[in-house]
Amino acid sequence: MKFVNATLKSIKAIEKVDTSRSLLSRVNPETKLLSLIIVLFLMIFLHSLFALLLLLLFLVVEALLFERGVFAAWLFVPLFTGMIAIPAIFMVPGEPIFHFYFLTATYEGLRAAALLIIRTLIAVTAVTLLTKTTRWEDVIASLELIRLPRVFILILFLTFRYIFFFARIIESTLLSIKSRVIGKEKSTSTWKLYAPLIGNLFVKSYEMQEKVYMSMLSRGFMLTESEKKRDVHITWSYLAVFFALAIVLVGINGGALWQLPL
Amino acid sequence: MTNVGYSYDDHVALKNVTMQIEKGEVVYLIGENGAGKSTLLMILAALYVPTTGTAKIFGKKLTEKLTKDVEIRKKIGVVFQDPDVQLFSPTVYDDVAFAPRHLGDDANAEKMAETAMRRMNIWHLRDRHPYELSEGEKKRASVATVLSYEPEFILFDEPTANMDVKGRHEFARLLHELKEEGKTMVIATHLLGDIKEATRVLVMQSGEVVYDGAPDVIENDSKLKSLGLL
Ligand SMILES: Nc1ncnc2c1ncn2[C@@H]1O[C@H](COP(=O)(O)OP(=O)(O)O)[C@@H](O)[C@H]1O
Ligand SMILES: [Mg+2]
Repeated sequence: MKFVNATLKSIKAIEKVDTSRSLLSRVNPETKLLSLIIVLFLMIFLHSLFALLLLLLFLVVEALLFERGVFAAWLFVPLFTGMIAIPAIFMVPGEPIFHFYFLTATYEGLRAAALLIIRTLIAVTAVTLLTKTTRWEDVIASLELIRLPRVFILILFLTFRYIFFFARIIESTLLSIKSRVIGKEKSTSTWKLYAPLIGNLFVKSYEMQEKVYMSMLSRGFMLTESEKKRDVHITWSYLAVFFALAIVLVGINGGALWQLPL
Repeated sequence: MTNVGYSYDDHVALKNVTMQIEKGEVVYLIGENGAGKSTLLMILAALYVPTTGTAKIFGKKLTEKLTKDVEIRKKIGVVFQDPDVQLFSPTVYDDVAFAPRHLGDDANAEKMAETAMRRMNIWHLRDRHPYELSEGEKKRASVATVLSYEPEFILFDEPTANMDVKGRHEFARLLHELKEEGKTMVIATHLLGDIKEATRVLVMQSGEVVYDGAPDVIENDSKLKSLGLL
């Protein structure tokens, strides 16, 4: 239960825009989006553990300086990556390090798991740095600016909203379970009892999305082809830091970037 | 609109509805759950295009293209039944400011949002997440998101369902004010209770309009009684 709660809390942390105007929220959205794209490219194409760690370190420092709320989002990394990373330790063939019953951990396996976790942390930190410091309408507007098709943006938005909405439904369902099983925390039968209910809510909240779209449409969402021309300001100094970072990391990474990212 | 029908896939939700709503009318749409009120409301709001028959909204033929017409969207406001559908932004303020930002001019958006929020008494909730509000607060926020851009035609879907007595009073007062301001309104409800402001009543049953007329008839019409609506 604690684990699930932590996960929910972290999902909420990504969504909530920090209204205290930090320095980062004053960098314009287009610049932040471009820097995010650079980071994501690096995350995918770097395959040196050291270079990836440096990239993560850079983001951590940025978050420490400007937006500490980002770290709440880290809590949810174990849930999604743990499930893949832990088996990987044992399943990737290679040089054995230790044995665990019939399983053998390999050096290559550990490396694959480490890469996966670091990459996830990089992605989560970078995305959260953007979403926490930028109004979502500005994020959408800058996505339009890079010519992402509207349908795609809409799906992206609804998916995001759907995840958050679903997280809340689980949260309130958990609360109602808790209120009914005080003192019987271990009772697994409650899970069985509520599993179909959660399934129903899943379907219901999915069906709601069409109506949400109606609500957005009725209030003017994406009506005209960018009628209001946005003035694009790129904060080059901010972006330059990321370009420099990219050059350094690619240098450290050495070798071919087009190698498979493993 | 004439002979309007609407089907979801192959389920017919609305059959042969013919009617006309004039400026300044306050129309109550009454019927049991599943009668087709929400579907009709979506058509009146120019969000759904009828699958049969034709409808005209503000003199223009309702087509898929018209549903995305800025001028039409400015004139029509919809308060959905479920606030969780209505409110989609990370903060209450963003949600209320959404329509003025998209349909109005940016310069006035902040002011219009604030005015609507103060009117609905939710200004103090501006930085809260819509999900964190109580049901009553959510409902007030939903109404504010629509009042914020001052549409002349407002549609409410089950506005007083799940409301407590105080909420219903407040809503009745708001309706009265809006009526005084000359807004045209359609209010869908399955409760016969508060239809005080009605200038006209439509009764729906299984996708058809079975009564269309003055509100006072509702109270002594034996036919309505026989329909189990009283
Ligand atoms: N999205 C949908 N898909 C399929 N059927 C629907 C959908 N929405 C409503 N219906 C059906 O259409 C009919 C009318 O629904 P609705 O207009 O919501 O009625 P009311 O608002 O009066 O309760 C009902 O039988 C309902 O089950
Ligand atoms: Mg309905």
